[in-house]
Amino acid sequence: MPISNLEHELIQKCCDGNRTAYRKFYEFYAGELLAIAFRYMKTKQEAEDVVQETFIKAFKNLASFNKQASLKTWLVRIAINTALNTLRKQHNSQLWNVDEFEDIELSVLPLDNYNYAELVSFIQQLPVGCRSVFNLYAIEGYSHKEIADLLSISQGTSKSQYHRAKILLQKMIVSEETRTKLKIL
Amino acid sequence: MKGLYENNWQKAVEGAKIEPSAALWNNIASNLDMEKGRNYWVTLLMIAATVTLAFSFPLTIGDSAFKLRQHSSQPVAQLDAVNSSNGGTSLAFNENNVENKSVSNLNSENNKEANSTQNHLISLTEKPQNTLPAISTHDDSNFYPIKEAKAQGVGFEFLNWDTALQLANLNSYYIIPYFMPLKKSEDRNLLASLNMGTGSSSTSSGLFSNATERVEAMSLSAKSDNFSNVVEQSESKGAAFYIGAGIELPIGSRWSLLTGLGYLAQKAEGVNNVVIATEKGYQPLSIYTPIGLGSVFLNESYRYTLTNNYISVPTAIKYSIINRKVKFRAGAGISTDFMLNHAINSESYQKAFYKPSEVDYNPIALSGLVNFDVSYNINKHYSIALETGVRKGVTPIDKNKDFYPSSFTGGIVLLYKIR
Repeated sequence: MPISNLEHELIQKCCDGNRTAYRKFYEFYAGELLAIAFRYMKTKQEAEDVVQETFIKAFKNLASFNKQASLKTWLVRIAINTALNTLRKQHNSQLWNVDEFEDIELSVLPLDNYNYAELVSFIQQLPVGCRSVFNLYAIEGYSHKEIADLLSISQGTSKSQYHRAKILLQKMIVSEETRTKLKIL
Repeated sequence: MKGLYENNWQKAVEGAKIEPSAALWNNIASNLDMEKGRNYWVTLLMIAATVTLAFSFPLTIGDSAFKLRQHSSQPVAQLDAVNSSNGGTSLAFNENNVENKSVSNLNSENNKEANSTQNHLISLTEKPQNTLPAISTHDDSNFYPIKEAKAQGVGFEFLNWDTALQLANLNSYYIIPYFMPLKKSEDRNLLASLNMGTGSSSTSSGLFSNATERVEAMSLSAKSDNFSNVVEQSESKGAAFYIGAGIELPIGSRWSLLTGLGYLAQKAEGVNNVVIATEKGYQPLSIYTPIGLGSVFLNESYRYTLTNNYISVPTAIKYSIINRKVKFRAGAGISTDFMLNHAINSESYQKAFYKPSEVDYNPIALSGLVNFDVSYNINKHYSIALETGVRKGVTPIDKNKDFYPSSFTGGIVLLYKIR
């Protein structure tokens, strides 16, 4: 999706060094990028570090941005890559450790009862490897092949991590629902 | 094509936003400023402030001068120095004097023998004539000989205990070499640094240990001749200086490893009334100076500066506690210090240099380092930092005594991002 005229104008002003345009650009995307980064990182502080790095990279490379693509997609991709790089350096060898886990029958649980913060708190409890894969596959819409290329892992690893993430999330959600029901009773 | 499960999640998080903190934009804006090079004035102010702070630091440490002996203007005698057969330092009569005796095998563990020392000493009643060797154009009439003394193994019997304890707790001066990354290790920046530092005092030091016996010997001689207030020794703090270069490599998101190479000078100021006559002429004599090199004379008081010069190789690991535009880090490591020489300088006499072996220092000493630092990114490539910390010796700097100096430190660093 090509960028809108408003985005085109904003990019042009940023490239000219207009400070107000930088601020508008930031205000327009910061909240959304922070929400995305927050799903990958453990804390808001870490997520803000990712977003800061994302904007700095974006402003540096704005002149070379391909205006035929979506600006938001471009920014999200930078944010995700930055988050994944940070996680890779933080966790390194532990990223793809798979502890034994109990396989259960998966079902599609309704998420309507939860706000964004609650859903993110579930995701953040996932081990870092399956958290990344879950975010990329279930939410960003990447394929297992794309994830495998992005994270330098096999498609099999991506699939197993995703499966594990789903099981863990289902357990968390069921447990939360049980707790809520008990409170009501 | 994703299934119901994925669509469910996508729908649940779609369009979500989180309010960023105010600091986030400030940090981004600061980076924009750096890119545009608009904060040169901040750079100049930071450099000026840090340099001022660095040079003023030693002046704030205070002065803990002590007196080994009360000063006396009374002229006394000449003391000749020779090496004893067992390798220790021994003082003997000048040949021109009347008598030559030595006091042997005195030590602090043998009080009785030490107390009997005076029985072996010869009293000096008046100034001898023609006792000075003609080794320089210095005005020899100002020098007065001591008659006799023996330094080997002399204990503290002739010293005040408080003074003796002070000798073991004098001050020394150290700088912790310091290195700092420009930004998060995410970028894997290899950094080069230029370091300059100054400061601080030690709670215990070996700097003075080697000279203890000599001072005791001189004191012994003076005491024996009823000149208890003859030898004056006074030491006080002086500025230290460090300059060096280094590299730092991030090894994790907040961890980094650093090493470097630097020159370290530790200085102390002093007042003395003893000089040594060597082949090169009269040279200032501190309580560090080996006196097996020539005759020792008492004279009018003069000021001198002591300097221990080192090549220092620090290795340390750092952890970023706050990792923003202004960073706060803690570090720990070890420094290997190779002693170049020990120098004593006075306006009144010639400068003298001694090798570590001549003053019984270990040529290599290790120290543990713990420090904290705050840094500021000047621009895309340069960063400046202030640091403070503690340094504790892990190997003795003296060959004969277990002295492990410790100190507080302060310094500045200018860093350049290589890649």
